[in-house]
Amino acid sequence: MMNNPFLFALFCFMAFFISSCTTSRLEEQVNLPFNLSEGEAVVIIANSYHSGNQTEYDFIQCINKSLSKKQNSFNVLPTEDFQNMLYPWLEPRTAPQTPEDLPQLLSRVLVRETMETHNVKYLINISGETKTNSSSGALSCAAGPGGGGCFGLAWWDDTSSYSASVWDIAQESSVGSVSATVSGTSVIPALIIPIPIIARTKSSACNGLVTQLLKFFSTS
Amino acid sequence: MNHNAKLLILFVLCCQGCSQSIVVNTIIPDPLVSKIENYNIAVVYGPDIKSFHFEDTDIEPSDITLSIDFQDSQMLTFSKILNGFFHNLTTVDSGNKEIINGIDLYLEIKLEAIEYLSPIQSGSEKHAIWFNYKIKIFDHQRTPTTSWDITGYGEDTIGSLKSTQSLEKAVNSGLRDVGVNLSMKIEDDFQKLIE
Repeated sequence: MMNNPFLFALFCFMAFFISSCTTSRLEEQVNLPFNLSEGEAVVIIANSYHSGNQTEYDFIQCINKSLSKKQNSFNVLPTEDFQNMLYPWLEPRTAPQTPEDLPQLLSRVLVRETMETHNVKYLINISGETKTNSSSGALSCAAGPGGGGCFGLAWWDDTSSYSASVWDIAQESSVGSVSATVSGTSVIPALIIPIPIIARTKSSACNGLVTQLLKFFSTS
Repeated sequence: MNHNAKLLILFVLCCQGCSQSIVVNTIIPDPLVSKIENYNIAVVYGPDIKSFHFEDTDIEPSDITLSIDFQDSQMLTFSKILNGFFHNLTTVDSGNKEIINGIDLYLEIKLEAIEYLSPIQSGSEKHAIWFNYKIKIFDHQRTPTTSWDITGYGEDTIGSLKSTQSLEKAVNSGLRDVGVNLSMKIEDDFQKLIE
């Protein structure tokens, strides 16, 4: 096929066409007035796996890094550091799952003091996950002493759907939420060497959510 | 490269997929709890708490062997939590049955079970691990008074992490959860114990 320019061009066109099918949807909802001054801090937390939440660790890391990098008007305390400071009260079993759980956490004097010391104004609670909806195609690889290679075409659809709810520590309630849903098709064409063309839905959802959060805070 | 060298590389690559082995180095933070004053506690750790090597050859797919070397991470978990609650904590050897002057309570901690669920077994691309401990509590005369069951559960989705990284995270979460449950138990039940 590599020697036939027409087939090669067709193959590249198919791969490009399939991989470029990505759609995004971003939403924002503001419930209560809020403000975030310089020097104040936010902490990203995730809903617990005890409540069925499957938010990936690398997604939380992505939100932390991206939110820190894209602004310098407020602090973002790294999730793990903050969990360690508050251990054992911000673990999957004990962390608040809804704004209604906040009073229970904040009723602990030591927890409240630690939050005040670090000037934590908002907790941003992330939920959601990336799911593979459907997959198709066939790809087979073989290897032997004389060499190896793969042949075939496989593709799958991913949907990354996440939401971030902003909880005010002082008001002990939710002040708003943003969400991002990104769908995309990944494809792996293989002609001896497999060439993965991955739709980065999770990364796009991370960027979308952070952009929404920054817009949310910049309106304060 | 000759054929033997190629076969050797192929063999090594195949064998890497046949076993998973991790060494646990969980670091439990100092718990954010209030000290319980005026109680001297002695802790007796069972041999499986001081050092434990978990092996599972009965997981799917059947040719995989799982090996988790806990080292002393279980003991460090209990020690960290108990030191957070009590000022005077004494560690006693498991063979030592003597009554020590000034000790108000003796805690004997034993590992009852560790259960592991592989991503294939769970059918959800995640490692899951469950711990179960029995803490027998004795008064100052080393007379049994009650016992606590302390469990811990940890899981982690494989996602984009390497499988062993995900397993390490599941074990860390499980041991941290043991600390959570122990802290909650002490807060809820210690007062009843000393009344």
